[in-house]
Amino acid sequence: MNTSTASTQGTPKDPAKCPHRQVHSIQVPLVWLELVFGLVLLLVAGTYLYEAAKLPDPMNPKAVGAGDFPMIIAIGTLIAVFLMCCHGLVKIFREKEHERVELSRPLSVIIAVLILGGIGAFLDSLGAIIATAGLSALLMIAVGERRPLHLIAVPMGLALGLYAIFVLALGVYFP
Amino acid sequence: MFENILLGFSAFADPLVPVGLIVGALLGYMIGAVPGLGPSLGVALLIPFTYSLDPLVSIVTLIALYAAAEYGGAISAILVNSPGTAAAVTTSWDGFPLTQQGKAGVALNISIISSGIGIFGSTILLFLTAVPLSEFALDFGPTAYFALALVGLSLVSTLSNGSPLKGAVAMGIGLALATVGLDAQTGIPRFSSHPEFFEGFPLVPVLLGLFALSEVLFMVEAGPSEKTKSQPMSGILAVPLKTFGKLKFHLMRSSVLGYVIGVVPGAGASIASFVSYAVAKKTSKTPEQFGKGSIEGIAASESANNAAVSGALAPLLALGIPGSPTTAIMIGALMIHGIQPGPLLFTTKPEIPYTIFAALWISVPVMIFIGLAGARYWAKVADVPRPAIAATVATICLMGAYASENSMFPVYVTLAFGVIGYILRKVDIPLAPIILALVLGEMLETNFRRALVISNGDLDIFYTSPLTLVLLTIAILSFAMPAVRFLREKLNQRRHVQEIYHEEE
Repeated sequence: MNTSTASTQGTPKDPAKCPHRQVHSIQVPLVWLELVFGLVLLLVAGTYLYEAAKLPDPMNPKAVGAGDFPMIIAIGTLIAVFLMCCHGLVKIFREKEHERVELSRPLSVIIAVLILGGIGAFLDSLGAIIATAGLSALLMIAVGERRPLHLIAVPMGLALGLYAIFVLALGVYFP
Repeated sequence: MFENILLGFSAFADPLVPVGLIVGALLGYMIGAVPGLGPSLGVALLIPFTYSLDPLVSIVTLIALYAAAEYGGAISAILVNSPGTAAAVTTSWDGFPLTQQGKAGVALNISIISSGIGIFGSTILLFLTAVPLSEFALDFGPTAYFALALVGLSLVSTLSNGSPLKGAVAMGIGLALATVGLDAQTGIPRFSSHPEFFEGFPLVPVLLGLFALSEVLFMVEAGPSEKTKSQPMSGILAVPLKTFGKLKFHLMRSSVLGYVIGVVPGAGASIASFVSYAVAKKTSKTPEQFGKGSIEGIAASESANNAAVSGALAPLLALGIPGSPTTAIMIGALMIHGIQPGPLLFTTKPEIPYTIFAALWISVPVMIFIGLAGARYWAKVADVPRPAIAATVATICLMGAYASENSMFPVYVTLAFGVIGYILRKVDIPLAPIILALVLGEMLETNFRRALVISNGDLDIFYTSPLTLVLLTIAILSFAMPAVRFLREKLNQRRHVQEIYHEEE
């Protein structure tokens, strides 16, 4: 299936070729990630099942109530997650070499999440232009852009361009 | 029927409709040419810009972008061996060797014109199949719709990339998200502690977060891009017509194959191009040329992956079932404009589906012209620095989310799903089943409950209709297929070990 996951997670820069910028990366076995994610999902699906069971029964005893369909979904998901965890455990004990997931530049990713969360949360108080320019400049720094001209021109262009399209051309209200 | 086709073409009398088509085509080429940004992300990013536009202008723009992104994926595949979309991987196998031989222009010409032929031929098939299918679907009851939605979900979960078990987990997540909000039948709030959730998760912010914002985090991880070295291009307009005469059987076969595969939920453009490439190699008189610069390989791959675009639109328009993530996103765009895809669309709002057919046909010469005239510029798009792309995608996501409801709630939803999408992709959980389940969840539940109300709680209703029975069997087989495949592999392994043991004896 053609999803957007195509190729950007590809090649992190080769540290040997970039003497000025050290690329930090962590390698985690995929099975361990699956297991941790599976346990979190078991908890979430369990809570979902508990909440679904608390929903009131229908007036007509033969009808399907508000909680019945969610309960079917919860049970199906719990089974699938449980099997995924079991599959992961079997792989941990049987296989010596595990497929690894590379988490490159983890600090930059965390900073990017904080930038997105920070600017996003205060979007209405910062206003469209300042929020757009600030978000794009900070995010470009997080991705690794260091050229001053790019750091000024792209955010300015984006802020003014998006403002012109959304507010002036399409008539969308922005704070 | 022909009146309706005229109705579709007459939409282009409004000057904004052709403008939308050209803008969509230009943006589609740009998005397709950048590795990592596919049609799904492109359509999701464009939706916020269409809120205040006329529905027909919006739909034509989105359709043009969807089709052009598939065209554009081939450009970077051919010139820098970096496919813009997953469906263009097979194009790079022969396109890039041709570029290395100094024939980049020939490869681009073949890919662009083959794409156009794929879209044109498959839209004829779409027109011939979607209309009768929608008429047939008018008789569907709640059980048939429930079974149909289940077939769509089961195929997407098992055919999507990666482990089928993870596909099932993704489907569960999507269905659970679809149940949030007020229950449509009883009005009871479900899993909604805050009134903002009463209408459920807003689709567009969820899409922007899962597909676009998660991609931004992957761009942050990848760091600044290195400059690619574009190859010189010559001979783009010097491919003689007789070359296409020699390719006509490949083009026809690949268009049909691409369309058929595109119709199957979950299969999509990349599977279409892989299958078509394999068939072309098998039937070619020069199979040894494949992988070394075969124009047959490029033609087969490109006509099939573009034909799959029309194929994916067939279940969407005729049945209201999205067959791919991009068409699931398209449903979100249609719903914003108050349009519910499905069999009734052809009778209540015929201008919508017929304008889509007309847009696909009209887009062919437009896209061939844009592709051939601007090939060298599209190739440069792949050189746009990654930080600038990340900043653009992120700002469109947040501003688009805000504009969807003029409130902060969708912004928070986008941010949350951006992080969730990043984690899911790291754990290799496919996103497509989540989106499809989110879109189809309500249809699945409503029809399931409606059927049981009709039968007074008796489950017999699901296996008394032959159509429902057939659809449910397909769904069960599709869910069971991975287990059967696993058992067969184990049996084969055991047989192999036994054979070696006997030989040693």
